[in-house]
Amino acid sequence: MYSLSDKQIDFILNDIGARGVKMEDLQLNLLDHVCCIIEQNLETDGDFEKFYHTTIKTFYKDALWEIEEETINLLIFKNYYVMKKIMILSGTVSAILMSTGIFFKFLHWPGASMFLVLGIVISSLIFLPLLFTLKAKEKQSVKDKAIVGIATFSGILISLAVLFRIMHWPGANMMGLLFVVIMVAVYIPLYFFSGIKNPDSKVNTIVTSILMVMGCGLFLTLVNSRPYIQEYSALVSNSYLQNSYESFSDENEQLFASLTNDSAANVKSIKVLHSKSDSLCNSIEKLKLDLLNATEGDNAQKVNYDHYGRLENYDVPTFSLFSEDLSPKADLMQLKQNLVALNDYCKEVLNFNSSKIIDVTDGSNKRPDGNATWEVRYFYKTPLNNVLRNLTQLQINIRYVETACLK
Amino acid sequence: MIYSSELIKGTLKTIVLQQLKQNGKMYGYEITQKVKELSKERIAITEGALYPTLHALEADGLVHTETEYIGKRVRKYYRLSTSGENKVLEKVNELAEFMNTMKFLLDIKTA
Repeated sequence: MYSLSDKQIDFILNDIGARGVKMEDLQLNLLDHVCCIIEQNLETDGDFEKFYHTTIKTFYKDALWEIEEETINLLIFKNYYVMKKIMILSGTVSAILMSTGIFFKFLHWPGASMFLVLGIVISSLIFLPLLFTLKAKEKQSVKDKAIVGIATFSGILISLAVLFRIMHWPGANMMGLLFVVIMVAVYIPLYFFSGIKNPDSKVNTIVTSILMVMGCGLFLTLVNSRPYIQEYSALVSNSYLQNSYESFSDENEQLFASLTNDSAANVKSIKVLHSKSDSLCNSIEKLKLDLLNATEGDNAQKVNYDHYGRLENYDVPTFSLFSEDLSPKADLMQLKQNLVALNDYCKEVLNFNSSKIIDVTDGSNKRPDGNATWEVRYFYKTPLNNVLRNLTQLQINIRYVETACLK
Repeated sequence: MIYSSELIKGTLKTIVLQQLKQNGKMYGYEITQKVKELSKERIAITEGALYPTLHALEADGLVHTETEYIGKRVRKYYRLSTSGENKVLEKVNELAEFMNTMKFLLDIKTA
């Protein structure tokens, strides 16, 4: 039985480290194992170095670090099947959520954004990273692993670009463009040149590459399309009107305050007019807020267009304001009655004809899809954007009438 | 005849757990020698298969470890944990059922 010296033990430990085994635990296991073999099999006067090198070579096929790699693989992939199941489940769930979201979006039903966001988040943060982890394990060469990595990164990027676009968050276009650049400049050339070398996958590689280039081109067109411009034009005009209404309200408030201190003014009728205008404007503001919250699935407390997008929804205003037989619901009926009451009050008490400015008569501008009542003309099957604009215009008109009467 | 590593790979965890059950605490080299002896040198567990498996069993909580200094080097002993003890029976039964199925599938006649 051979007896190892401390120096020889240090030599073995250093050699194991030099051969690429870095896990301390594994180094000590291998050290003890080699030492046992040497002690059991080497003659007392045997050649230590020669025997050691012969022995250590029996531990591996190509290199000693393979044992460490296998250990890491077993530790990381001990849940391989669980990961695979989670990947399939998350992929299915995100596909269902995204399809439901797109379906809801087409029908302008509330909740579409929630489904889409959940679908994209699950896909980007669970499905694609798991897909990469499992696919990278299957690939042998570093190049193939890199291709899978780039594909996954591009997939996450495009998913997030769509998510940011839907949610109107900044940076969506930047991510979309980065996706196109990575695809065209890195991924497609890598994929093309690695696949074309293999006769079995040659045709498939060419067709897929062409399809990917076409997809990138279509995506680029979509990013720069006109709806994107319309989105902001609607936003700007709604914000502009809203600001005008709010400034108008503030000015009227000051005017009202100065007149109530004026002994010559008819304070009683002014107070009634101001209270009627305020109540009408507030009820319209609430109506706008309700419509916005119903469409966006939001719970905003104040009308602020800055975080909304195109608001092209046709159905929510119609469902919210009208019954199935085209007759207006209570809120809209009440609004019309109050507007008529305001016109009557201005005419009878303040001797001012406001019915031209606040025009709630039926008859003109006949629509092809319904009778031409005031409600139908302004609110029925009208995009939310325009409904909101019409309501704000109404508020401005009320304030205008109020100003005219106060003066 | 030494069995191929492909055949042994799927049964290695079961073999190691069973050895630990029968012998209490064991270290790596001891396990390889014991298996070699019991199998009449027909099963040779390689270092490249044994240590990754032992680390995986430790990570799964099926074995506990304790270290002992042998001069300048450290020896790591493995011992079954409570969950490891429960797992052995399950693994051995599973393997026995698998062997029966293989016998039937491959139409192996036993004497």
